[in-house]
Amino acid sequence: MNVRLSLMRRISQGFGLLLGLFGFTGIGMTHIIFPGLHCYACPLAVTICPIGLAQNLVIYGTVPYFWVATIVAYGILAGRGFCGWFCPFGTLNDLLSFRKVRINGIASYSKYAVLIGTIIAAWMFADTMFCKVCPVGGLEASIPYLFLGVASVNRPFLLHLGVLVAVLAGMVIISRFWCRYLCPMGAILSLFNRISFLHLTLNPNRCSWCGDCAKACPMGLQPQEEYDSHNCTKCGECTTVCTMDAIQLTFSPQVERSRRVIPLLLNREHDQGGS
Amino acid sequence: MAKLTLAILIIAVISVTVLSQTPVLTFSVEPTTVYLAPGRAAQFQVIATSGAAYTADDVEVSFTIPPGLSVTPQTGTIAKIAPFTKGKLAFSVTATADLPPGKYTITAAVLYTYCTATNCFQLEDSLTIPVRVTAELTGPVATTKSATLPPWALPTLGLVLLGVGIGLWTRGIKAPIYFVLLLFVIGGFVYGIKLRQPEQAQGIASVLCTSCVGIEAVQHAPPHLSDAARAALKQITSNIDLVVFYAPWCHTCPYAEAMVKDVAAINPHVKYTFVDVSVDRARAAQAGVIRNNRTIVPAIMRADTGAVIFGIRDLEPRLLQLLGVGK
Repeated sequence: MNVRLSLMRRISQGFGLLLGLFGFTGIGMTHIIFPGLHCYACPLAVTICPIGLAQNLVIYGTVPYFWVATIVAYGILAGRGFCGWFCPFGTLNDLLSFRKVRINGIASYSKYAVLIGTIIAAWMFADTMFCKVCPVGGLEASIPYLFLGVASVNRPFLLHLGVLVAVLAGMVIISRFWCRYLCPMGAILSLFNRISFLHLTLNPNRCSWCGDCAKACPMGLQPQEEYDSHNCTKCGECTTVCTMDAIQLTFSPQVERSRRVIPLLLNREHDQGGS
Repeated sequence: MAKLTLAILIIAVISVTVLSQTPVLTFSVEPTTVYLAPGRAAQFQVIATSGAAYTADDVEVSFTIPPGLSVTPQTGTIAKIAPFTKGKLAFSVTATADLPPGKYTITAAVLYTYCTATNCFQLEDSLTIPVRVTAELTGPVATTKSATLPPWALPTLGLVLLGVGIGLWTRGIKAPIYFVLLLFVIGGFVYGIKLRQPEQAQGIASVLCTSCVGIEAVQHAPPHLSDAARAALKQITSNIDLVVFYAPWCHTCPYAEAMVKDVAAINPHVKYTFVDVSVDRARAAQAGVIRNNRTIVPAIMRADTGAVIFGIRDLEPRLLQLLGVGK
C-alpha cells in the first residue's frame, strides 16, 4: 500500500482548498485562473473560475489567449490530475465516495454535453447561464452570502440549492458523480489526459489481473485496461492497492507509443487461460 | 511530485501579473496623426475601449477646435459600450483654404457614466488629436495606419497547428503535440498579457454575479428601515437638512432617494432636497460629489456639517450615523 502517495494527495487537496479560500488573508482577486471548478463569487475567492471566465469571454467575444494558455498549461501538467489532486469540489466528491460503482460507458460523455451547452447558452443568452445552476456556486457563494446576511432565500438561491442537493445525493450514490458525468472543467482537462505529464503507467508483465484496482477506482474505471482513460483523475488509488506495483503514477512526457493494445491482448489471453 | 509542485508554482507566478487598475474606458484616435492639405478634409475615429466589466453609458465626445479647422459632426454619442468591447465614432476634419501649413491640435472632451451595484459614476476624460496641415498633399489622406493582424489570423494558425499535432499524435508520433501546446502556452501568455487579458479576467471575477447567488433581489428591493432604525430616528429633536445628489442615469439613486423619503416621513425634523447633478453641477462640485472629473452618485449630504455619504451599500447604518443617531 502506497500510504505516502495518499498522504501527498491529501496535502495537495489541502493546498487546493487553501488557494480557493486564500481571501481570508485579505488580498483581493488576483489574475490566477483556478485549475479546477471554484466559484469566483465565493467571499474568500482570490482566483478566477475557468468556466465562469470562459462564459464571460464568449459573451464579450474575446479571443481567449490568456485563458487558453493557462488551461493548456494545466492540461499538459496534469490533465484531470487537478480533479484528483487539487480541485476543492473534487475533494468533496472524494469525501463522499462511498459507493465506487462502475457506471461509465456513454454516460461519462455527458460532461462534454454540459461543456458545449454551457458555451452555447452563454453565447445565446449573453449571460453566465451555467453559473446560475452551478452546484459549486451554490456551495461556495449562495450559502455563504445567505449566512453573511447579503443574499436571501429567493428563486436563484433555491435553484442553486436544489442543484447542489441533487448533486450531493448523486455523489453519495455514485462515487465522484459530478466529476464523472457533469463537470465541464473536468471535460476540458480530460482532453489532455493522454498527453499530460502526470499519468498512470501499466507494466503488463507484473499485472495479475486481480481487479483490486478496479474496486478501488472512485471513477469506476478498470485501471488495468483504462489507465489512460479521459475519465481518470490520476488520484492514484489504484496504485495504492496494487500489491504487484503494476500500475504507477509518474510525471513525464507520454512520448512513447501507446501500450494500450498490450493489456487488452493480455487480458484476452488471461480470460482464455482462466476458462 | 516535487516537479509537479514546482511547475504549478511557476504557472502561478506567471499568472499573477500585478498591474495597475485600468479605467472603465480608454480613448484613442485613429490615425494617431491626421494629415490634410489646406481646403481639404480627412477622416479620423475616436475609439473607446472598455477595460472593465461595467457597461459604459452615454459616451459623449465634443471638440475644442483651433481657428481654421472644423470638425463634423461637432459632437458624437455612443449610447452603450458593453464590457471589454470597443465603441467607435467617425469624424471629419476640414482645413480652410487659407490655413497655413503647420501642426495643430484638436482637443476632444469625453463624458461618460457607468454604474456598479451600489454606486454610479460620471467620468470626464480628454484626448488630443494632432493635425498636420501640409501643402504637399493634394487630397484627403486618411492616415498612417499601422499594420495589424486580423483577429482571426492567430486562432486559425493555432487550430491548424493543433490539427497537425493531433494528426501526428493519432499516428503514434506524440512529441510534436507537446511542441504545439508549448507554443499555445507561451504565445497565449505573451499575447494575452499584451492585450491585458489577465486584467480583463480579474475584472470579470471581481464583479459579483448578484443574480447568480440571489443577491440582486435584495439590493433592488425598496429600502425597508428596521424597527431599531425607526426608534433611533424618532430621537431626533432638532431640524436636519439632507441634500440628496442624484442623476437621471444613476440606477441606484432611487434606492437612496426612497430611504431618505422614509426617514423624513418617520421624523418631520428631517427635511430633504433632491439635487440633479447634471443640472446643478456647481453645487455638486461644492459638496465634493464631483471631483477630479468624476461624479459619484447617489450621495447624501448633511447640510449643516457638510458630511457626505456615497452609494447604497449598508446605507441604513451609515445614514443613521450621518444623522447623529447611529452607533
